[in-house]
Amino acid sequence: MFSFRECSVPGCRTYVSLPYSVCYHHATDEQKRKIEKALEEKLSNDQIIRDVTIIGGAFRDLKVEGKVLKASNFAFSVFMDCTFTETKIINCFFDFCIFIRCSFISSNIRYSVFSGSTIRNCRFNDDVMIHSNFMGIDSIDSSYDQCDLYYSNFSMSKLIRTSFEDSNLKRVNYNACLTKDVSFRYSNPEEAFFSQDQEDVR
Amino acid sequence: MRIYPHFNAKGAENSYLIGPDEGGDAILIDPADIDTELIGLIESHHYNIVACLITHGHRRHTAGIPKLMKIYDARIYAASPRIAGYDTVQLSDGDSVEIAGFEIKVRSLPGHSPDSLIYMIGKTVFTGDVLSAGRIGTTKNNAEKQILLYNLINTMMRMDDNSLIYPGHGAATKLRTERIFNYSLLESEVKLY
Repeated sequence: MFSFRECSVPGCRTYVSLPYSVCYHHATDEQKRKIEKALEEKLSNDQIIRDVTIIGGAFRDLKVEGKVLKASNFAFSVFMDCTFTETKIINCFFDFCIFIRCSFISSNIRYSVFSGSTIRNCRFNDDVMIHSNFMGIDSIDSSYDQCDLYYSNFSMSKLIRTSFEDSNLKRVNYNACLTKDVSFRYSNPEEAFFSQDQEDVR
Repeated sequence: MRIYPHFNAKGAENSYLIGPDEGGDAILIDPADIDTELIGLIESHHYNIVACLITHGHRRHTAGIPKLMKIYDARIYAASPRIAGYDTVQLSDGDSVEIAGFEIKVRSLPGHSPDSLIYMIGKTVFTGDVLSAGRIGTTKNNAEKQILLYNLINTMMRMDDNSLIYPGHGAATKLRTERIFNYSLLESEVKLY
């Protein structure tokens, strides 16, 4: 698991980016460069990338293909034009992130958290995204097509021009969502929950 | 520390395997079912289960105990003195135990069930059915719901926003997310900060 040590800057409770004693936000420019370089090296050399903490990072044109990303924390980060192809993302935290024009193709996302994120012009296609937390996301002009979303949670989200077509929606939670132009074509929304009462009954 | 979630497809419960980085003594939280996938997970990481922590005594979270005890010589930790026919090491609110090199803090949060405990290892909280992503535990009546809400406010809502929450059902979450997006808590109009 990523380190739970808190940043040494007084008043900051964010987790540190190892090997430093400060969080990414409070790291010096030189430290930030080293943290980013370490991640780039891991992405190019290692099959399994684990225990990484970069909170509040900014990533552009990141290409992750065929890797396994485990137990890492990228909360409050910005991802632009990033591609995750055939990537396993397990037990990772992407809460309150911004994803713009990113694609997650044929990836396997489990036990991961994307809650509070803004997801704009993104493609989650042909993915297995079971047991993942998308609570309170703003999903705009994005698609979750041909996905297995079993037991994922989109409650309290804003879903605008978003499609969940030809996907498995069994036990998916859409409680208290604001929706506009959402398509569930060829999927099974009857097995999803659209209110807490439905969830309690089942 | 390594945390491996395991999903029991039969009853939709989560179990959690917690161990050190390189094998050795490990902990299993809420053994809903000991299937070949879970045994494979334990053995492939060279773990030996020395403790089984129970968040609450509901059968769907403890049904795997008999099978677990046939394979591993584990001690069971719970609020109740006996679980699934086995004697336990009884825990109560405020206890702290060291198992497999991890310091585990225990808090009692009745409401969903009288024996509900949550376990904290560092900034990681295993909540059982007390708090899940987007909802609080089910209760039989309004009085129990108020007890649960009171306990949540006075224990969990005092924890750090960055605490990770691993519930007995559904996806993982963070406390910050629950403060902002937990429908049950928002609906109850309780003070979350």
